[in-house]
Order: sequence, then C-alpha cells, then structure tokens
Amino acid sequence: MDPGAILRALAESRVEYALVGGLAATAQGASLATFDVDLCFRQEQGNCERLARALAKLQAEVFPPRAEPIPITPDLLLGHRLVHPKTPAGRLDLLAEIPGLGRYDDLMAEAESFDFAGLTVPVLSLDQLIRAKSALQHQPKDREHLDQLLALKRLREVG
Amino acid sequence: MLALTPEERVLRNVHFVALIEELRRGRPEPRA
Repeated sequence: MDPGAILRALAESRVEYALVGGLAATAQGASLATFDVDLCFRQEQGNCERLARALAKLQAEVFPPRAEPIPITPDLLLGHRLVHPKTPAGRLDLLAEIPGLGRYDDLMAEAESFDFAGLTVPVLSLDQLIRAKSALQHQPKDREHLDQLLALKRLREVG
Repeated sequence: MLALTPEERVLRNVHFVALIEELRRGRPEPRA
C-alpha cells in the first residue's frame, strides 16, 4: 500500500476529493489497520475526467477483475456512486456520496486538511467521521470503529 | 498516538499493513 503514490497522482491531475474512511480515521488518530484508500470525489464532468487520468497513471483496474476488463472512463465515474479500483499502489474505494454527510460539495465546508509527503490532503474531520460511521453500522466492525472515534473525541476533549 | 502528526499516523498504518500482509503470505491456508 502506497498512499503517497495515490495522493500524488490525484494532486498532479488536480482531482477534487477528500480522504474518507479508515485512512482518514487513522490520520485523525484512530488505531485501525486500513488496507485501502477511500475517497469522496466531486462527481462532475471535469473532475471525473481528471480522476480518470489519475487512475490511468496509477494503472487502475476495476476490482474484482473481470474476464473482459472494464475501462475506468469519466462516464463510468459519472454514472456510479461507488467504484472499487485496484492499483499497484493499493486498492481504492471511490465514493460520490457519503451516507450521513452527503456529496463532495456538502462535506468540504467542514473538512480539514493535513500535509502528507509535501501535499495538502483534504480529510474528513473527526466529527464528520463520527456522523458517517453513525449512519453506517452494517457490521460489528463498524460499531467498533464508531466506538474508537467516539473515544478519540473524548481524548481530545480532555486534552 | 495523538502525539504523532497525521502524516506519521498514515505512515505507521502503511508499515503496519505491510507487516500484516507479510504475515498472511507466510501463513498456510487453513485445511477444509
């Protein structure tokens, strides 16, 4: 897993996105082991073209692999709420909408950013991660992660 | 953990995940 390579490719293609999911929770201080890079992307024509370019640079393929590979085109990104590409730098979950938070434009007002390998990376705030995880508790793992995020918030409050 | 920067936390995850994957590769498949 090489999030630096993924984030660099996104920056080079000027993709509008925010880091969400496990890696965002990790950046905010959660002690999770997360194996993929989850992003919420702005689902608009120009941005989907830039994202498709970045994914091509990353040699991304739709995962799981199909007998007949599905090309990741701007139209594919425009027409799906969730795309799972696999790249040599790691797996990605590309989401057009985050349950409990909304779409890219909705979540950017409250999003934060952090420096990573010289890049400025937009990331969900801890409160946003808590709201998103509260809206999505399909598996016991989700409940565990929510508890971690709530504990992290308490830790921050007590300083 | 809170003393680390966000970048350090992400890099720690990268190392952690690499170790987990290495352990998984070395572990024999469970018998059916």
